[in-house]
Amino acid sequence: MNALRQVFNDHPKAIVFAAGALLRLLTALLFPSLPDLLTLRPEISTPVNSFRRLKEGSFLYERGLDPYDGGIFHQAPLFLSLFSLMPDPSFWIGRLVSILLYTGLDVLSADCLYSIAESGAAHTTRSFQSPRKARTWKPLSVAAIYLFNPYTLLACLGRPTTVFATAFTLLSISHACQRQTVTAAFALAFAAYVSLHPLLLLPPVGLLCYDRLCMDMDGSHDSPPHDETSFAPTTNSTIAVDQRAFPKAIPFALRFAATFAIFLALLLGLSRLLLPSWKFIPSVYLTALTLPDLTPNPGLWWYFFIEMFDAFRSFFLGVFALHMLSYSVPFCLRFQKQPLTAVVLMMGIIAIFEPYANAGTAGAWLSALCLLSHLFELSSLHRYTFPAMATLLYSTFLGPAFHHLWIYAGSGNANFFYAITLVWSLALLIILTDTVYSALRDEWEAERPEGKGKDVGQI
Amino acid sequence: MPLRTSSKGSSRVNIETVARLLTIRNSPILLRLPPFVSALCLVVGIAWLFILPLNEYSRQTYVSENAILPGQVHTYFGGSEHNVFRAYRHEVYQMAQWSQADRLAAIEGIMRDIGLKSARQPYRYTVAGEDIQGTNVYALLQGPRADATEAMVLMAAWRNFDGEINHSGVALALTMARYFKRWSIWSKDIIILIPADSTYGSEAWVSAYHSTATEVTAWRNVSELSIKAGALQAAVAIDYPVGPWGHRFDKLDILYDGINGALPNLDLLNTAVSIASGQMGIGCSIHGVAAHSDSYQDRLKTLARGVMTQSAGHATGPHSAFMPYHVDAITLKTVGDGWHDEMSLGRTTESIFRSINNLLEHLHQSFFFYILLNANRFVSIGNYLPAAMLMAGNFTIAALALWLQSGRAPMTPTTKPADTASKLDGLQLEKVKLGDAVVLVPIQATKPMIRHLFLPVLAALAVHLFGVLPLKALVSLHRDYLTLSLQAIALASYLLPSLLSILLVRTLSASTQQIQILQSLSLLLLSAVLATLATLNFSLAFVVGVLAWPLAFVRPLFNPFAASMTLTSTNLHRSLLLAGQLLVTALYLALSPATVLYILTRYFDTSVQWTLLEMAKAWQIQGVYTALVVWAIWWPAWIVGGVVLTSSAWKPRS
Repeated sequence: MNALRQVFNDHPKAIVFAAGALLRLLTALLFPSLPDLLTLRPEISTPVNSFRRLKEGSFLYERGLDPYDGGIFHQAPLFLSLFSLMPDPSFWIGRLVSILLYTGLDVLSADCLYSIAESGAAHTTRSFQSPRKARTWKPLSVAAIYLFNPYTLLACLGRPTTVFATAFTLLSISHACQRQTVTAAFALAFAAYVSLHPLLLLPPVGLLCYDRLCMDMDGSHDSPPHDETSFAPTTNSTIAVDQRAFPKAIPFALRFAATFAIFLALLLGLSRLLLPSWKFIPSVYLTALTLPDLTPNPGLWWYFFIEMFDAFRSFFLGVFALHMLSYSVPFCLRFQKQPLTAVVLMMGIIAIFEPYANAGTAGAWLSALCLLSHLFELSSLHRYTFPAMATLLYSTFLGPAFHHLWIYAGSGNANFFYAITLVWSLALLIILTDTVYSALRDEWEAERPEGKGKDVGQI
Repeated sequence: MPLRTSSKGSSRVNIETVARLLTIRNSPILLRLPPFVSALCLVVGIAWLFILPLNEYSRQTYVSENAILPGQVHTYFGGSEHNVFRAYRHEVYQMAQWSQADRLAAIEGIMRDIGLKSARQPYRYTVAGEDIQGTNVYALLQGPRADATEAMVLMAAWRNFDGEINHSGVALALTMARYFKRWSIWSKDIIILIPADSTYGSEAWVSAYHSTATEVTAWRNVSELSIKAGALQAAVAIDYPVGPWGHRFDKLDILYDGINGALPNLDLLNTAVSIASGQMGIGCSIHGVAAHSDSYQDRLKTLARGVMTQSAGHATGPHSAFMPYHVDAITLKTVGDGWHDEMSLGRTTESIFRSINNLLEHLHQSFFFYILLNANRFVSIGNYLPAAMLMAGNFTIAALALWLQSGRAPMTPTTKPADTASKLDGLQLEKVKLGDAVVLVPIQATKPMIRHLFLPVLAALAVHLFGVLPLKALVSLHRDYLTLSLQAIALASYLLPSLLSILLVRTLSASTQQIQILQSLSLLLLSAVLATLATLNFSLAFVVGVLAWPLAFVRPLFNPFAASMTLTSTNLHRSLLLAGQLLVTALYLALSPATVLYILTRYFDTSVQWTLLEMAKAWQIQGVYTALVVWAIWWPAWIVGGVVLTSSAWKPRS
């Protein structure tokens, strides 16, 4: 017992990461039919990330046919070359190799979360320091929450390609926290290349980069300006330090966006080299916007557009897409002082509102939420964290049951499953809005410490 | 979103509202309410089932699908068919004396003589050291107007569910096949199936029908079917185990429970009932309640039997195996002494097949979730589901309350103050000032505590995963060891709670708060699973909910003769407390899954070994998940309840 404790104390990170990886591999080995079952589950595999469709695509690709003909395959072309290098996943060796690959991705994601949490970007920024700084969890706990989250575990075994998007999004954030602007832009470009919607993270990640760069220039960031005067409503809060030393905001933004665009163009160009035509662009990226495939998923779009009359379809597609788009910049404006919070909230918006939502992305977001662990006190004390988590638990069980009743037993219908996807999204949204509340309240209490612990009314 | 406290400048009304809300949030009354709400849910949930038989909460059945037209056709089965039937019955009686190979050849011979394509399907299952094997015989009647996309099944198992040889049933199925062959009206193929055995024969056949390739494993060897037709629309089984000299029956008992409590579409049942009683004048009964006077008691009895059968989830006849494959199926079983003969049963079957033949699409119009009160009265899901949901809700409320409690500093010791004055003394009060309004709140109510989640989460997970062990033992051991292993499990489950709480409290030094969180998580999981189960198998969820009810109210035992208690209460009072606690412990032990299993076998007068063997076979062969619910859901929750109960006993004295 003591020896074990000793080993754990010496290499805590290695032990936790190894346990996470081992759990994935052991689950795959002990239940050999589980990965293939999970690739069929609509909660994990959607038309734009399903592993089965990827196999279909690479089958066509290896035989010299255009995989984007026929409307089955909607995933990024680079996956074709990646998976054609690997053994056929229909056999156990290929299955194991693919699970090893996804385990590697999960370990990478957990490592990114570790370094983001280590950087302290959540509670200490250029112009703000959270009064609850001391409550932040250890980086290792954040990484462990990701590694042992049942949703990410199931997503790892179901092998949807959105796991790549998650890993690269987190990689981009961690590079942003380490002030590596170019690699952050590249990782985000790769995430957007894989699944389009991380594109919406460009403004908040840019803001995070900028904030971290300014902090670096500022140097003395153990005690940021904290007195009442610097928080006067009209003045810029960074006035206390020499702003001329900071990089200019607009040129920085343009430079960051340009880097992102160049990398994205590079990736698209590379994909074109693999394929006979540009046809993959509408097939991969328009699918996420026009929703041609209405296979059920835990998101909010499919049922709505099944019921929609064709005349209104394009209008509502526009409304839904604009709705998602409309959060990106406002979050950056409101959470200027806490850019990492803006990034995490935007990840939540994407996980909940994306057209082909899946439990893997939502699970990864829930784990990423632990980056804001200093806010948990607020949300669990004043908000509905426990009921929301209980609702998530309920919908996790009821979702597959209702899907079974609808598809297999034939005694239910589509409304059963749809109702549960609504409950699922509602629970995630409650967690999201509670986080918004806690982040704002935390910021407000930094300004007015006398309000701490008091109940608030809302105007 | 501007936030502010209610400060001096704001309006009076606002202050009052906030102050009132604050007091309500922290009001001791509200915090003590959850156990009562929980208990109310429980009582209402159980009482709910007792009002269902009333006229106001149940409905008359009705045929919902227009295409069925039950009893609208004239039936022609009769006359010389009677002679054919009697001849077949004598042949079947003869076959019963022959070896299996000769018998199969003889049945196939008859089918071929009629002009049908016939085939055999041998199957073999090995579970718990028991060999189950047999050979199904079946034949395909291609409907003259059919395009081979749809089929219906007429079934008569060689041995019925009670193990008797189904002489007249098999003979009637063969006669019907011969008779149907002459008609030109069939727009669906008809499959005549003679399974060797009521449970596993039809299971083997229907699973092979719905799979493209069958895999041979150590415990399962089911041959593929050489003849197949289209999608099965419905299946009707005949259970008429009467020897060569015939026997007139009184009523038809209609069996409809499928595997895991799945039910056939109510329209199929309605069709059978309306044809039998409306067209043929044969009375119908449900769950063997033959003398049904349609009184409250009889309806309740039928309901109770329905709930018990459904919650067991096992097969009730050859039709049961069809349900998981989305094929609606029923068994017509003859009961009693009366004046109906085999020809009326034949005409009923004919008419049912004519009705199914009329279907334009799969049965979907009517209810899939219902509880029958008699053959023509039912309760629909909207009326009965709240009962199970209240059961699940009771655990959720308890979990929420425990979670809230765990976030608060512990209130003053468990002593009960003698009067209000001392009650107030025991509490440290804190002034909460909101503008002009001042509220006195116990200091414990406003000081949140950090919850230490790691240990409880790990413990809850571990205990629930541990539930796989008894499940695995009871479904995979040899039958000779089943009784022994249940005894071992029963003994282990009496000891395990104490051992676990010693481990948690002594070795891992879990706090009271962590024990509360552990209980909260376990109850939350139980409630979520029960709510889910209620949508799949209402009765099982309800029964487990009723049996697990004490888990919502379990609180750590305490020693009434401890030093802290001696100051405030009398000796009598303390003795009563001790007696109460002993009673609670006895109740808790009596409601352990293993004990309940023993009590049930005693009540139904079956042997423990037989019950366990049937559960193992049902789990392995038919995928009945009742065992899983008992050992992987109810049992872990029960263990956690015991850990909570004994947790304070092992607390190190300081």
